[in-house]
Amino acid sequence: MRQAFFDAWAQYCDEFMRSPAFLDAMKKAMDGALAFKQQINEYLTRTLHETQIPARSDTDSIMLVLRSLEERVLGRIEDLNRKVNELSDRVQAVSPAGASAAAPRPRGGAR
Amino acid sequence: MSPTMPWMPWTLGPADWQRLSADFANKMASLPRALEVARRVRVGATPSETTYRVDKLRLLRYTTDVEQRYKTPLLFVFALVNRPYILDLRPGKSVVSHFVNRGFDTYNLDWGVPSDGDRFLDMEDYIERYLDDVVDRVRDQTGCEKINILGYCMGGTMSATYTALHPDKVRNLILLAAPVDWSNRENLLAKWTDASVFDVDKLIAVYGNAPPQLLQGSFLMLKPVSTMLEKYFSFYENLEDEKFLEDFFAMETWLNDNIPVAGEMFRQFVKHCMQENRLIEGGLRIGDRTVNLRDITCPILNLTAAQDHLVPCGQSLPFNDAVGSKDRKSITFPAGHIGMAVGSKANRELWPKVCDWLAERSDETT
Repeated sequence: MRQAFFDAWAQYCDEFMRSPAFLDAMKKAMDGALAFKQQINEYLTRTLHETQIPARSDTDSIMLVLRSLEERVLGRIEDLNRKVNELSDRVQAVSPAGASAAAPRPRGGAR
Repeated sequence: MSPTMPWMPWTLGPADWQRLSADFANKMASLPRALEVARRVRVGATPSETTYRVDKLRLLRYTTDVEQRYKTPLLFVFALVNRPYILDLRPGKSVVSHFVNRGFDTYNLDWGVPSDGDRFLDMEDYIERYLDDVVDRVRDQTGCEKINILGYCMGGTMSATYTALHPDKVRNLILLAAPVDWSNRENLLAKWTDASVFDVDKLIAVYGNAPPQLLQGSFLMLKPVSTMLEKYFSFYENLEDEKFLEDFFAMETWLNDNIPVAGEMFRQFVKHCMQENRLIEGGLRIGDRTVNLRDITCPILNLTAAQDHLVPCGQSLPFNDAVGSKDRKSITFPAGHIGMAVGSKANRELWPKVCDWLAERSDETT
């Protein structure tokens, strides 16, 4: 009896939560919550900047700069890796005897 | 046997009330013992050691006295939304232990908990940088050119993407309740994450990372009666059963151990995979490469759960037709999304079969 009640209720909940009315209400609630949070974020950022304390937006900017730097460095390492591989292939092609003495080919790229 | 909680209390007679009161008193008396069980329950059944660490990520290698029978190692790749110890929750409820006890050199990838500074980590970082790095480490540590990968849920989607980009490094691929095709939008999660309802760009712009409370709340709300009512009725009725309590608290520990998902990764996954279905329809770009599932040629085992409310079978099964592999198999098991990993029946019947499948396709140690 109880299980039947739970099953019926679960089915009702499922139907309700996939109804256009619920989806619309969920969207509006989420939009409202995000707008509120956005306002709080902006207010905090202004307050922190006024008192010369870094806010999250500042650390985000630093993180973006670091990521860009990291990408450039890794890209450069990957280029070098590719060149080393090419040179290694050429050495192997020119001198089969020297191939065994050559350093093992690096596995994969930097990223 | 204790009586069940009353369904319609107004229909009960005095004798019923007396019986229920006595039962309630017994349950309350056993509460301190239940709290003691909650305190001492530990998650994780198989000993492991960390063999590699980069940023927040840890690579765990399971240690065992069982003799290693297979040379090809196995790497578990779990989703980013929860912790990976669900695969090794408790003795008797551990997917990991099946493989370890069969003699596989077994690894598990713990992605770690992203901080606010990780909000810009994207799919390329997770797949081409972290996952590729870990696969290379496993290859180095075991001396194998190719490894086996088992991806669970979102981890399965990531594993499939990785295998398509690096088919030369994967020997066998096992997907466990892994979504790949979101063309069918009938399940509740697909409806909630539809682009017309869910503005993921705005969420990530405001919050940075995807907040764990939102993820946890959404997962609970998918089956509210079961997760917020039935579960606690069952808890009350089994307050005197120590074995039940141990399993219950271990499961609750995992369920409430939610972590944020790196913002950009979450945004790309929801937008490109869930909303635009690029993985199966084509056009999913990771860095400067486009993912083509036809590039996957290794043996595939696709495990789906018949009662999965998070990833219905229809989101997983099309994978087998999308890949270029000739050796491909799917098993649909009567369990739920989590039951596939911790269910008694799955541990008894499903995982030995999966071990057999993998054993047939892995190199034995000489």
